[in-house]
Amino acid sequence: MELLTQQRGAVLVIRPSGALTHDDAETFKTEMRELMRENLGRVVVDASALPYVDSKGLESLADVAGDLAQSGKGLKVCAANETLRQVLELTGLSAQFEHFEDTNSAVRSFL
Amino acid sequence: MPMDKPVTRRLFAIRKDLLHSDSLLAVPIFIVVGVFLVSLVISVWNNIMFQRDVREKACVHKARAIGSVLAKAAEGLMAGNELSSLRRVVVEAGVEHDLTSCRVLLPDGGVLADANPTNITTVALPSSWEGVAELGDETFTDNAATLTFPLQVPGRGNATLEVVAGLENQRAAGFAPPTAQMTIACLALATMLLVHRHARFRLKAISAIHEVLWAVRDGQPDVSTLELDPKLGQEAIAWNKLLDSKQSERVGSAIQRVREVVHDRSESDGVFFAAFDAFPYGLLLVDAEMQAQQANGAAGVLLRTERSQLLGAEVSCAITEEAVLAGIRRAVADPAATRAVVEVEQGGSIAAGVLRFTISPIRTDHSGLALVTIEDVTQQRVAEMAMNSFLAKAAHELRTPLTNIRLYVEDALERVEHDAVATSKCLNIINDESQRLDRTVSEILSVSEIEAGSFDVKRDDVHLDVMLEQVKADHEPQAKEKRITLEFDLPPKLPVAKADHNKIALVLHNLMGNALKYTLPDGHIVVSANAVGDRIIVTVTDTGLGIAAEEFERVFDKFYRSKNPATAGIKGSGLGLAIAREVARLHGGDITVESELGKGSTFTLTLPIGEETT
Repeated sequence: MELLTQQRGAVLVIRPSGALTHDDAETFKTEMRELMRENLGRVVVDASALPYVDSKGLESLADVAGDLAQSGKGLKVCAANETLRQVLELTGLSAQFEHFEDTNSAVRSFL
Repeated sequence: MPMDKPVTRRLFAIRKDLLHSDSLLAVPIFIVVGVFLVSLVISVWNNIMFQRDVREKACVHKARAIGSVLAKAAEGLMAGNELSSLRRVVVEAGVEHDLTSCRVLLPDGGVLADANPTNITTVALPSSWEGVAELGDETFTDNAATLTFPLQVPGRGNATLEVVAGLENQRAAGFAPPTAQMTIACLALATMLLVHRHARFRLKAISAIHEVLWAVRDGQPDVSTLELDPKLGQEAIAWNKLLDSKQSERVGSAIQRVREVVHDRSESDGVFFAAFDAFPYGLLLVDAEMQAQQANGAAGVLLRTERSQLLGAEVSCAITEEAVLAGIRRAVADPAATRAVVEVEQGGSIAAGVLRFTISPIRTDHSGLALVTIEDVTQQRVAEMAMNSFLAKAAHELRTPLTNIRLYVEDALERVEHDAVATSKCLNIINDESQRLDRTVSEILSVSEIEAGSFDVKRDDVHLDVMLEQVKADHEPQAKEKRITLEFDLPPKLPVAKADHNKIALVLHNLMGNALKYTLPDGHIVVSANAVGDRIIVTVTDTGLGIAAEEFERVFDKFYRSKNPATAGIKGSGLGLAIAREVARLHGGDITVESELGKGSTFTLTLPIGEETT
């Protein structure tokens, strides 16, 4: 899995490209924590190139969302496919995330 | 198996079958038992043949012994004229020894005695007879052995004793036990086949689990691929249930951790502090000693420290901005202090972050406290700056053609009476500037749509190869006019992308237009496109003026114009590349540039094919 980043104003859009599974999950979590710390949490996860997430990936997303929850924020996720949305719903993790249709909406939510 | 399959692959398949598949137990056992049973069958057959030979020989030997004894007795009885005794002896020999036939023959063929008395043809023993009796002989057929013994009866003549022993019964008697063994062997073989077939079916699930465990060992991360086909049996169903429970357990633990973070604190710290932590703005409660009595999680994040390190510590450890510290001091010490707001640019620039500190004094009976609210307003400031800059640049871009139009209208009005040529020239310039104004307004509208978030992407099937051919046709006249060589290096077929047709066309026209604009006459432009993985990559390479390295990113800023003096005379709004990159990014792609001053530039458009986006 590859993490592509784009700066949109003061907001960093992180685009994981490829499945978020097993070995990648720990790297994803570490890099996300570092990027969130650097950007004071002004981070959007663009899930348009995230085909699926396994249990380890879910754990990492939950951990990252947990970090943000400590500062009263939710992890902003945009363009998640139907499968990912269903997985988050079914596992009860959906409430920990803020969902947006596209990156523009997610970025504008910081205004 | 195909005949052209390499030998190594066949060997590998056999090895895999023997070592890793369901044949791990079944095939070797089947081979061993099969060899054993085949050996048994061969052994039984040999035994049958041997038994048959032995019994035949024994039968003949017995007949020979009986014949010899009977011949001696017959000679004596015939010499003593004891015909009835002879006949009784012959009958008893035939019955007792299970002979097919036993008889005494005269040379003329008359039957003197027979095991079956009805066959007797010579009733009385003649006193003498002529003729030569047959010599002793043994003849064998498939079913019987015929032995003849010469009899010499003194004073009467010669006769013959014929003994016929049946061989069929002997064979049958010898054949029965090996046949039973053979039948048992065949039944065992058939049973083994059935057992093998059943074992093979049952072992399929175990073998599949074995394969999956190997995949796990080799690092297969995708749990969904570890599931087995339930048709493989109960073992496969149990395995799938195990996977499901493990998956649920892991997801459950992840959910639990989040709940612990969000909810459990409320149990230990109380609802008030849980709400304090759920507040998205940083909150600090500072006492008269300038120490943080309370701090929430957001304060820790925004001040780039740990919440636990803030509690009870001097706020100056986390807040270094003197204006903020002064505001807090005033709030906790001065009874007349009012709410103060201080904005701080971290690291001296907006890009590094802007925090807004709102300091509210709280009065109690004994001492003063200050509630400091910390808000991250970086994005708002960046947006405001961008908007201001955009308005200023837009006004400038609109004013330039408008000024030109106004000046040339005035000029044309002055000359219209007496100088038709100059008037015509003015009108042409006014026309050009009007078109430029129109393009600029369109681009500004596009940018404002992007800024407002209403720049919709309508995904449809986009045939980039066809679109690039159209781009080529549209720009060829302009290239020809500037004597620029246009080369399109396209593959025979490109995948169809899910994208907004009009906006991608706009991007390609912008890239192509820029290349033509900044390439000098007699230059060269190459456009290539390729599918790489799930993306299509289009590159536009020119031999134009080039871009300095420090301007690589800035050329994508709105209204940015290159500082290269060589580009001074080239008109443009500075919005084309900004819009192109925004369109690419809205599609999940990007545009990047590589360039060298004086040598040319390569713009690369990366566009996801977009099958997985929904």
